[in-house]
Amino acid sequence: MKAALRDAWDRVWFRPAGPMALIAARVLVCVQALWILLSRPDLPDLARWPEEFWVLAGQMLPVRFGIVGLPPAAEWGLFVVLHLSLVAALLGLWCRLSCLVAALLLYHFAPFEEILAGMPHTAFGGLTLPTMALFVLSFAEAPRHRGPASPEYRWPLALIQLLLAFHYFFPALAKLRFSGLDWFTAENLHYYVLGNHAVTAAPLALWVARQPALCAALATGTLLLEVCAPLVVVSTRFAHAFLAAALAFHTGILLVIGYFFPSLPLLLLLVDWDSLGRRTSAPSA
Amino acid sequence: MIEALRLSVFLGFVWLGLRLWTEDTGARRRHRVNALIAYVATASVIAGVLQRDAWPFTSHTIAVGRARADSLVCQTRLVGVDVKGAEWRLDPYSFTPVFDSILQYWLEQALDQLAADRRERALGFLLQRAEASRERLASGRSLGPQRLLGPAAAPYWLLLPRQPAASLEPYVGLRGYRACWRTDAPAPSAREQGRLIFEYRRR
Repeated sequence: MKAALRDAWDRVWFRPAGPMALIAARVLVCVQALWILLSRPDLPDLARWPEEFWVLAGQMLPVRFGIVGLPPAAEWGLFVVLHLSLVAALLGLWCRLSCLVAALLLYHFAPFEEILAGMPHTAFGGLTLPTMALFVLSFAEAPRHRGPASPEYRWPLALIQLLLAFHYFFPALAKLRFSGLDWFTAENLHYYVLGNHAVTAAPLALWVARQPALCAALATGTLLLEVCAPLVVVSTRFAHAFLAAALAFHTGILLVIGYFFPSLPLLLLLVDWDSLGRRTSAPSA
Repeated sequence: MIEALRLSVFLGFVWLGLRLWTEDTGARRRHRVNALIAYVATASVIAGVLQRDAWPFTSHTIAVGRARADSLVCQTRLVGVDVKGAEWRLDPYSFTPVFDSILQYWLEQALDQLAADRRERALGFLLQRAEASRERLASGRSLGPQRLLGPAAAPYWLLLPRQPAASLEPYVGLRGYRACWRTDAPAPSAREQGRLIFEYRRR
């Protein structure tokens, strides 16, 4: 039993993998982080907001993220360094160091958007997985293009994929904890969609709310997708099916509820880039 | 204390990871990698199962409540008041880098905690930001995520309707209205702003 578990553990985390998937993961998280940051080009400007606005954040929460009252010019300087380190990591320059610097600075800047309110939804800002992934990539061996397959190229990717799966799995646990299985009913979804429509005016909200069978199907589909998410680490085939289902899931949420999922491009972490790379580089017969 | 604990969870992760830099090969490295994986999984599961957020180990708590016909939906609506006294609903990115819904929460929770002079200072600052955003919109420049990347930019996750119209006259005042309605009732229209909860006029 113990040996079987150890075998399973080794198969999931340490089966030899080519470098391509890890290189692709690094590129994806860097592009994702740059996309979010360039969409929030004035994040450091928060340093100019008067002290009155920090009353909810208190003293220790900002300190936890290195927000210690640096002058706005210093925050802007760090913001520039963050962009430069992301570009360096994207290009594979000084890989471990650039990933570590980018990760540390993302850890500092990602909370800026919501820290005044105590960070209620920072997890959904699109920088959570890049932050964690860049740390993991900085700890791991830097992949060499066309290098031999190695367990060192497997565990970092599997860990990043697991963290991606948690974006789905934990919301399911939270729903079960706070509302139980009743969350996943047509009635709940009906009123949830109606309530959000008044706020976001999502285009398909009213139409979907009028279809009880569709509401029931969406509620069940949500439960299945979220609960099964961790399997993406175990099975490549499941990961590909999950990718397609998750794309449909987020498109549906966008149109029916009016929530955008900023981490959407990170679903590409589930693509088997090693196989793709081998196929494209294989000599044609 | 709780923040110190959360910081220590994060520092533990970084320490376990950096230990890999000094161990290139062999069983010791494998042991350290296993420790890192176990730590990340455990910290994440504790955050997720116990719903104790310790970002970046996060509980991913969103949309967890049950919605019913009589559930109340509430919103704080911000309007700028121009020199002619006309009200203009503000774009949700008017206070960038702080999004409208975050500012709503801050106004609901924090404004009443402030002494009168500090409240005036905070609202005066918000009026300045609203006026700067009005100038951008009135001159045809984009606001919020679109400033650098245009339509390719990533919006904030909550897609509040944009308010592209802005006064050509400067804002001299800022008002906040609180509106609540039942899920099964239509939301108050933009004209029916709700109950006035604060007003600030430029001194």
